[in-house]
Order: sequence, then C-alpha cells, then structure tokens
Amino acid sequence: MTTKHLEKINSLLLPVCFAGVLLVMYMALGWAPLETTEGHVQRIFYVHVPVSWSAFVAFFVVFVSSILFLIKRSEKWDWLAVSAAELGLLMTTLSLISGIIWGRPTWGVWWVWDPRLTSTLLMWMIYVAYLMVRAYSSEAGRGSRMAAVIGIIGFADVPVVYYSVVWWQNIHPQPLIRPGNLELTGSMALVLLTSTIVFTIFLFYLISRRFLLEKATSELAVMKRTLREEEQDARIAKIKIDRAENK
Amino acid sequence: MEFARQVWTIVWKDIIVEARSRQIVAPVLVFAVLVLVIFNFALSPTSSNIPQLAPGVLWVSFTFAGVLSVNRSFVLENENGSILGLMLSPVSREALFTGKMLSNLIFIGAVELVTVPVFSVLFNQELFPPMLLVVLFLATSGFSAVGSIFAALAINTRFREIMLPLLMFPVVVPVIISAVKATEIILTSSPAGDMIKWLEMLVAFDLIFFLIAAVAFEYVIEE
Amino acid sequence: MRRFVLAAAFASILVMLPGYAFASASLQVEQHPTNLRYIFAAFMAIWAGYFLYALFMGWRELKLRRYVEELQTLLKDRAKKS
Repeated sequence: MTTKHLEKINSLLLPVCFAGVLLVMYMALGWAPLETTEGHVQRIFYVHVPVSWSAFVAFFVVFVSSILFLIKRSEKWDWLAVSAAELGLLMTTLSLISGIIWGRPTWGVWWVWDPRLTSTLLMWMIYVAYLMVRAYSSEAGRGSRMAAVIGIIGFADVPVVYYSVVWWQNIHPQPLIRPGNLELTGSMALVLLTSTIVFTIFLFYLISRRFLLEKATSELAVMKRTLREEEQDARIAKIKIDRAENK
Repeated sequence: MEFARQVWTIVWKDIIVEARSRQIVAPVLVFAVLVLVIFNFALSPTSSNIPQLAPGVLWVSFTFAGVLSVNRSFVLENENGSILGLMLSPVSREALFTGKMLSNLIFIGAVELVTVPVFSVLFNQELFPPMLLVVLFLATSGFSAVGSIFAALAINTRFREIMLPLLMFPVVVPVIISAVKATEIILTSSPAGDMIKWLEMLVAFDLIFFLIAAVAFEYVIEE
Repeated sequence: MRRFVLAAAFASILVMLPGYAFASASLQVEQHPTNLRYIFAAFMAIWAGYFLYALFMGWRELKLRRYVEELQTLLKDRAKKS
C-alpha cells in the first residue's frame, strides 16, 4: 500500500468518523434506555468502554509491530509502532479521565485500586516510559530498537499485573464499592457495539494519519542528511580544485 | 553444559570485579538500611501496627536498593567500554543475559540477607523467618530478570538513572505485590493457605519474564 | 492541513453543543438523579482529548510542510546559481 492509497482511504474515513461520532452521541445520550440502578450517569459507559477498548487495540498494534520491527528491521513497522503507541497513550489517558469522572457519582469515590483501574494506570506508565525512551535515546536508530523491546515486555506485563491485583483484592478486606458488571439489555448492547465500532474506525484513521506524518518526518531527515553530505562533498571538491590551481 | 559454563564465567567475572572495586554491595546495603530508618520516622510504627507496615517497608527498601544495584551493574560495563568485550566474547546472548541476571541476583541477595536481620531488630520481628528466604529468592529473581534487561536498555538513553526506575517499576509491580503479601503472611504468622498462591504468582512471573527478557536481550545489546 | 484542523474544530463544536443541549433537555425531566455535570464532563473530556490531539498533529504537519517548502526554495536557488 502506497502513501497515496493511504491518503485516499484517510480522506474517505474522516467523514465516516464524524458521522459516526454524531451517531454515537445521539445513541448514547438520547436513544439508549435509562439504566435503572445507576441512572443517567451510566451513559458515560458508552464512550468510556470504547475508549478503553481502543487503547488496548492500539497497544496490541504496538506489540505486533514491535515484534515485526525486530524481525524484519523495516522502518515502516517502527513508524506504525510509534504512531499506535502515541494514540494508545491518548486513549488510555481519556479512559482514565472518563473512568474517574464516572466513578465519583456511581461509587462515591474517584478512584479504587481495582484490577482494571490499576492495570490501566500501570499500562499508562509503561507507555509513557516507552515514548520517553524514544525521545531520550542517545542515537535515533537505537531508540526504536529499545522502544520495540519495551513494547513487547510492556504488553506482556499488562495481564500479569491484572491477575496479581485480582488476587491481591480477593485477600484484602474489600471496601463495599466496586465496579460491578452492568446488566446490558439488547438496545444497550447495540449502542455499545455501534460506539465501539466507531471508536475503532476513528482510532485507525488517527493511527494512519500519524503514520504518514512519521513517515514524512523520517524520510525528510534522510533527505536532509544526504543533501548536507552532498554539499560537503562539493565544498571539499572545490577546495581541492583551488589548491591544484594555486600550485 | 556449555551454557552453564558460559553463564558461570560471566557471573564469576562480575563477582571478581565487585570484590576488587566494591562498588555495589556495600553502598547499596547502607542505602537499604537508611531507607528502613527513614520509614521508621515517616510511619512511626507502634507495636500494634508493625506487622501490617513492616512488609511494605521492607520491600520498598529492597525495590529502591535493587534498582540502584542493577543500574550500577551495567553503568560499569558501559563506562569502561567493556560491554564491547562482552559482546565480542564467544558466548551466546542468552548466556550473557542469564549470567548478568544471576550476578544481579547475587548482589541484591547479599544486600537483602544482611538487611533482613537489621530490619528484624529495628522493627522487633523474629530474626530470620526461614520461609522468607524462599520469598526473597523468588522475588529477587524476577526483579533482577526485569532489571537486567532494562538496565542494559537504559544505558542507551540520555537520562539513564531516572529512566531505569521509570521503566522497571511499572513492570515489577506484580513481584512487589506478591512479595509484600507473602511477607505479611510470614510476619503475622497467619494461616499459610494463601502463601502458595503468592509463591505461584512469583514463579509464574519469574518464568514469563526470564524467557521474554532472555530472548529480547539479543536485540538490546546488538551492534 | 488547515482544512483538517478547521474540520476537527467544527466537528468538535458540532458534537459538544447539541449533545449537551439534547442531554439536558431529555434527561432533566425524569426523577432520577441526573448528575448531568458528570456526563457532560466525561463526554467533554473525551472529545477535547481527540480535538487537542488532532490540533497537535495538524500543527506538526504544518511545521513539516513549511520545512519542505523552505528546502524546495533553497534547492531552486541553488539550481539557479549553478
């Protein structure tokens, strides 16, 4: 797939995304039935869950493209990894924020050290470190290799953290508040499904856009380097000619 | 067999270097004890809440001390350029990683073995509960597996002293949770039923991360 | 690029305002505790996050484009000279 194809797909996807977002807003805030135990606040669920899902999808993309980068050493996997990591970090941030806002009216507290919340927070931290290693690496090429290793280890860590917190909770005396599982009726499930699809499409749109940006940036850097080298060669050649003439 | 011999060569090399330079164990040990002292003032434990606080204090101290020790092990290689020598040596990358991990395990383990009795005296616990040895061994193995690969990784970044804990702490959280819980069971001498669960968790973590790190190590130190 | 930023801004406003109006109209009638502030805050946070990210990416794309143009003029000048 060339850049042109990707750009074309992107320009088609953008209106789809916007229409989808409007549809989600309508379905989540208006069409979806009232949840009887939590009240209207439960409507946050229809955006909170898809955002968390997108975060997970994005980090899965990071995981796969990190492995492919280490095996194939083709730059495009690195571009994909960094794009997906950035989007995944954004989605995790939004998921945490919307979760905190949802937690306050439903459980009465902002935060609980529940397995899902804890592993999301740690996932957030791992990928902050991932982007930092990229930014602070001593050489550009090394940074992507180091980051790929973190992308793999970090992804493997998330389920381990989840289960360790599950066990930790079962033993700890529990506060009564706890994110329960909602009973989804048919129409609620439909809203959730629609919303998840829309958010996933939006995620892929943003990733591909970020991918093209990363591609252009690194290709430009290569061009700049060759230009500078050419310039230097020309200067050296000129000096040599001058010297020869002086003799 | 060849693998074991290669691993042992690396470990022995690290032990000799440490015996001559005394860069890791002694300063880290002092640091670990200092953390205990500071926690005593920060939490002001009384005889009633010590069993609840003590495991946390002990493991925070070990985590901070461990990250310092792991960091030193690769900084030294990097500063003297000896990492190139290691990479050129006819040793497989997996053996190199295992050796580094074991020597980290030995150094952190040495620090822990001295810190635990000091801790027990300062916080009025039983001097050295034997089950704690198992927990220390399993938790420190996981810690040094993750630590070795991230330390090798962090020397490629500009702010490695701060990057290493940033990378390591989120990943080793399961180890810390299990170790603290298991230690709590030992110190409060509560029924050992849940103990098995935490030990299983530690073993699982050790295996998963040892395997991933051993494979990924090759990509960290190439060139 | 500018078109993209404008579209993103437009869409965000489009999404936030009627969403809020719609929600406040339809939700407040019923007896349930509405907690409208929280619903609004959560939706707002998510769309704001998307919008800011789009803006940030647009800014980076703009910077890159300017840079390419600079390089192009530089190359043209050089071609003229030689």
